[in-house]
Amino acid sequence: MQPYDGHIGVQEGVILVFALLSAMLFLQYPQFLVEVGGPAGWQVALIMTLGAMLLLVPASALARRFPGMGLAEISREAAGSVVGPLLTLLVSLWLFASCVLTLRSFTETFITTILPDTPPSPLMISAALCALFASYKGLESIARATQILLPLIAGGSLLVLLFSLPRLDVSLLYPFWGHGGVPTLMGGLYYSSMAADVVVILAVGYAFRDPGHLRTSGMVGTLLFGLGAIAVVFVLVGIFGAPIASQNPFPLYNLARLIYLGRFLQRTESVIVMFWVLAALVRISVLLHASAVTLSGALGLPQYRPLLFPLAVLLIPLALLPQDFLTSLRIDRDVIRPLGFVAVLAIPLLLWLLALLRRKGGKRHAT
Amino acid sequence: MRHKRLAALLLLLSLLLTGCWNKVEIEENAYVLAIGVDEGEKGLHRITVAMAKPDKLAGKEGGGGGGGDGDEKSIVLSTLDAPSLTGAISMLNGFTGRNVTLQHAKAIFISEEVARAGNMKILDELIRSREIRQTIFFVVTRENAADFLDKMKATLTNNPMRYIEELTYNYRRNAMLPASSQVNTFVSQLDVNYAQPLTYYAALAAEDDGEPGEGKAGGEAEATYDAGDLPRTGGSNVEMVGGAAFRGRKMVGVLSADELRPYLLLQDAFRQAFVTYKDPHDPGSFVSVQLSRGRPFSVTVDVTGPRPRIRGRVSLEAKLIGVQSGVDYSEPALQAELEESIAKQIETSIYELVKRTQEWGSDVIGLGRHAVPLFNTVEAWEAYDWLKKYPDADIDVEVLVTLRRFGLTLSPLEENQ
Amino acid sequence: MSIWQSLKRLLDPSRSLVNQPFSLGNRGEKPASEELGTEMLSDARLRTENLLTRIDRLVEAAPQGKEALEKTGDLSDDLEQNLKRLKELFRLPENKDLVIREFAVATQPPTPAAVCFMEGLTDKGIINDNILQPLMLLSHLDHHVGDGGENGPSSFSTDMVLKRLLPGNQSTPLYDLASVADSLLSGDSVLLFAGSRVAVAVETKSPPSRSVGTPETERVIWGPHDAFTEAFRVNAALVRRRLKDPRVVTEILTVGEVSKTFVGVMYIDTIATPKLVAEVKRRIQAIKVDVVNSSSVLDQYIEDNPNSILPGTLMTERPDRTAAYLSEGHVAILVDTSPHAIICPITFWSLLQTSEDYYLRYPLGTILRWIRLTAIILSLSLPALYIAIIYYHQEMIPTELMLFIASTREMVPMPAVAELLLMDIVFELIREAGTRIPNVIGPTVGLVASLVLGQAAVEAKIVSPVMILVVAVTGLASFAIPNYLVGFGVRIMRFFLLALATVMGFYGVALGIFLLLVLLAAERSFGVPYLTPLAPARGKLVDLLLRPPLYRMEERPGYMHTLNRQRQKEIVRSWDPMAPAPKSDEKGG
Repeated sequence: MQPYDGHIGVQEGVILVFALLSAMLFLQYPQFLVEVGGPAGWQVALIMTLGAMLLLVPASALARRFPGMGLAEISREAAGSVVGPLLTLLVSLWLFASCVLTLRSFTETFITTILPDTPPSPLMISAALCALFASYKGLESIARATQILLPLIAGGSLLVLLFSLPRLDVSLLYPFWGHGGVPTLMGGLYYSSMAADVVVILAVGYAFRDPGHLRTSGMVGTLLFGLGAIAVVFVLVGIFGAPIASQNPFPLYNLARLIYLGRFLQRTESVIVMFWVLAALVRISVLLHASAVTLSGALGLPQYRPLLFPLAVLLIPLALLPQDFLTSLRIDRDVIRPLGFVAVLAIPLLLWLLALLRRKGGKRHAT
Repeated sequence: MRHKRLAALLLLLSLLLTGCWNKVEIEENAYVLAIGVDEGEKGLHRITVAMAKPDKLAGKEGGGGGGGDGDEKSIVLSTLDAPSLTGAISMLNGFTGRNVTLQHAKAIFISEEVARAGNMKILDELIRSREIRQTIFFVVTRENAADFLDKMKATLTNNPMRYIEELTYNYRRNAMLPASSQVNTFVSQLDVNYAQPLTYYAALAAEDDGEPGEGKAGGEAEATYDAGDLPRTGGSNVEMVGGAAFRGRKMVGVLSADELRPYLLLQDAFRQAFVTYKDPHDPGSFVSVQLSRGRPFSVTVDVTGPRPRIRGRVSLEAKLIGVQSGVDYSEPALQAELEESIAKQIETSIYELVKRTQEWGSDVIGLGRHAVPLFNTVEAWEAYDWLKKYPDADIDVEVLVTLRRFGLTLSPLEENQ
Repeated sequence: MSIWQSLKRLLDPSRSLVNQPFSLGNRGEKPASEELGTEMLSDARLRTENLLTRIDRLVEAAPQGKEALEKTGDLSDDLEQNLKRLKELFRLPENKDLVIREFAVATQPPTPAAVCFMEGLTDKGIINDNILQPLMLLSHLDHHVGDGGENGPSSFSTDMVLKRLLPGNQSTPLYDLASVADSLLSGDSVLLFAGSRVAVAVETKSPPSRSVGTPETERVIWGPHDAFTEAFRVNAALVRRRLKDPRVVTEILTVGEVSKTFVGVMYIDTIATPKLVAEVKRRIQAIKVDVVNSSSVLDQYIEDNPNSILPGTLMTERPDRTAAYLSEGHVAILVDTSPHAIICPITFWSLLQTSEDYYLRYPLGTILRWIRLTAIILSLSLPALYIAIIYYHQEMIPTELMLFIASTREMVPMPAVAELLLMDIVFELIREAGTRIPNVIGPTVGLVASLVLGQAAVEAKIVSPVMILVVAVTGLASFAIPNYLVGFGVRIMRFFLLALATVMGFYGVALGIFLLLVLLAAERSFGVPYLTPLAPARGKLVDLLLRPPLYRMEERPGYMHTLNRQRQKEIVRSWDPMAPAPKSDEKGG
């Protein structure tokens, strides 16, 4: 249905998912994990990872049943031409909302950290333009660019973590069980919606040559993201202590501020912010691309590209809508993230059940 | 069509170009190198700011003079009464003519007066501001911070803050300073509930009157090297040794340079030091050794009783540097004796230190960190309230010294009668 | 007096009108269609005549079978007639390049003949010794010419000439005027005989060319020093000398309606995938233009994305490099009159490599690559990073250095960006002057300019010394980029990044890097993704950032989809006690 947009292999898929999700580690999300788990924040991250991998099960089952199809075609096939597009539309709207909030959070963090006197609109416009350009060039190009960028981003972040290690105080990670097992478990499961954006790979399912590739890239990407989250939370708590870490919306930035390697290498946080911008751009581009693709699928349009510019234009005022930074954080935490369960869990599950009931996909292809 | 699109793009770009919102030419800034905080009038802070004169500090032609000596100062001091740091900076902007920035502030000096009153309202600003580096040194000064900044003289370099930075390396070489005292360590120790902060403590030597300071030289546990009172003359007038101990935000006491060594030993942060001990065979003379860390500090804590019980074991390696008495300590029996004697002297100093901190009721050593893992949840740990229990803790530390090397000769000088 | 006269000339309308400046366009008037018309008409007449003759002949030859059909042309039996048409075609007598020498072949009876050749393109010695001499002097020696009357005089004559009389090493019969013209223009001599409808082309090509020289832009310290010249055949020979294999194919296509340039497509059959060869040929054959006279021009017609900043093909002047690429399954395009071969497809990384990488042992080759990678990164981003740091992120600079920069900038009136641009312009001037100036004083100019100008600019407080350092390092790094075209592209991208850095600091730099990477990632060169084998990753990441030992490079690059992946045995150094034992041995034993 979509025009040729290239194919995505396992490696590219893993990298895409990992980059998409781990961009969140630069933002306020590790803070939430620490808030729930206290010194045991890393356990929350662990459970979050496992939960997030479970979330992927219905999506990959669906992809297996309808190989070579994107979410739009699958839902049309499984739920008919009335309900299907509606479900796709829901996912598309959620992806777009996630994109909007990502843009807002990143812009806010740039303003707070490196460009304090800059108004948000130029930052948003330039970022949206970049995302527009990248998603116009297609997912394949984004994936390839990410493939080169990711070592940079991951390497930079890893260096920050490594250089922070001398300051790590293991006793800050105790008491071992934090606030106790139940809050940790519940919090971990709740925040597994952090990985809900992974529904992107279902949205662009047509780009995978093999449904197995989709499942592997989703699972491995999420797992890597989880490991990253664990590492970040671990170091964060081990250095700042749970009380400060839970009030810290810019974890890696604040870690980078502590780097002190003799007189010549101090205050490298601006370099970290550069990697951070790159991660943000990848994430926004992927989300914009996915929401455009799903939207065009829901509306039955043959091409997603005409939708890109309107979406990008819409992105900016919507991102400016929340009154202040804290409001946008709250909207994200209390509304968008929980709704992520609908996008990544409920809708694919529903579609899968419908397909099972209506005997669509799967077997018919097999024969 | 294509041209229209191009024009639209250019228009959009030119919108961006109108900005350059944060752009500052590098020479349009006035760079603050150090901040001093004193008590001011009516509960305000009296803030002293040391700004760099780039052409003097960059040391191009004849930078010579350094931080002292009349008109050739490399820094400009301004003192203002202000409710906050930001207030002070905006006032400064009024008469400096340049954009005053804290980006390169390397040290903040808090006067002992302010520290003892626990009146550090400025702390929150230090943490929240993006301009101030989190690794800014946190120093408590015995004098007024304004006086300190005004009178301090760096001798070997003309950048006083570089001098302060170099002084902090003393921790690694001589174990006379806390491992680190930066704003972020201070704040994070305020937040944890198993330790209290200990910061750098600095003082000016008395006016150059040729008299050495009042401190007593001597062997371990006898000497008191307090900042400002080192028995010496000449050189720079800044003495930054020892530390200022806090309970919460309030300063409660001063640890001298020689107390820092046991402090670092108990923190397991000790690296190496050159120390002089009393000779077990000749009470009048001394043995110099270079101590370095051996096996990690091992501790067991027992929190079941009403008083926490702490048993620890410090192991050190020593290298013989000088023996004044001429006793040949390379003989096995004598060697053991010397080791034991040194260990005893260190144990004594540890007891003294623990006693003092318990008197202050402040766990600056952070022994509580060994107790945390014994609790399962945050709630249980908070209920135990370590900091309240610390003054009553029963602490026993065993020291083990091993003499590993004897320098370039094994036996002492033979004296021909 | 004279003033009065010139004034009078101005006032006299008839004189001033006559004195019109020359103009091609003849303002306001329509082009001289009559003139053009007659020209076109005579040309068309010639062509139709030839066509008609040919059709007649074809009809005639049709019943005689395929061979006869192939041999039909539009030449007439009459020598005079042929010469007349030839002269007409070549615009004789205005055109002096075509030489026609009429003579008689010393047969019994003598046959009138003519030899035609282009002045300057041909080797006179061959014409004198190997064409005229045998035909005019030696033909009567013991040949029994003219005794086979039954075969008809025409075919007999030329056949005989080809087989027995003409000692030229390449002689081909020609049947029509167009191919006669082609042969003449490529430097052959054409013989026309009375009573024969067949002309004979004899190879006498000797185009003016220089001898094989040393490479100018792709110099190496360690390795062969021969480079392509303008002579296409020599170039092909230089490559073929390195690949002595019958599977090396040179297909020759002709491009350009007027220039009729020879374009050689070289590849190794059974290695290069036929799909690629077909695509290259398809793109070349699609070129319908007047003149293609250089590989750089041809390149612009066949590139994937003409808007791209970086080149989509690799142009090299090194035959050894061309041979190496051929052996990896690439296709090389050699254009006559151009000393560069076009290699396609390529990846971005191959633009950063030199043949020297492979001539040095592998640790050294790898280090060279890293140096070059550093160079391209520095040359791309150093000015942008510097500007971003001193405008937006001053906290990053070590305090002492920051104070030094501030103190030197104190007296400089311009903003730092203007300073940088100024120095950049000066640097570009030095570079341009250095390339155009004669070789002898070129280095001197560069040295004087860089030393004196830099020193003076600092003394005059127009720029700060650190800025000179930044510009100089950037310039030096851009010289270390091995490919001239890449260097150019990088310069453009550098200004793009610089603009973004000036406006938004590191944020802008990051946006720029992202955009450039997406741009490059979307690029393709003859169907091969530009950034492969890094992105998309294909197989092991060998021969990219690391230059593996030659004996380990067992496979050709996967992205080439070569027909034959294996390029050497799995274990080449089988004599080496450290080498792993071959697998087949284990199974066998």
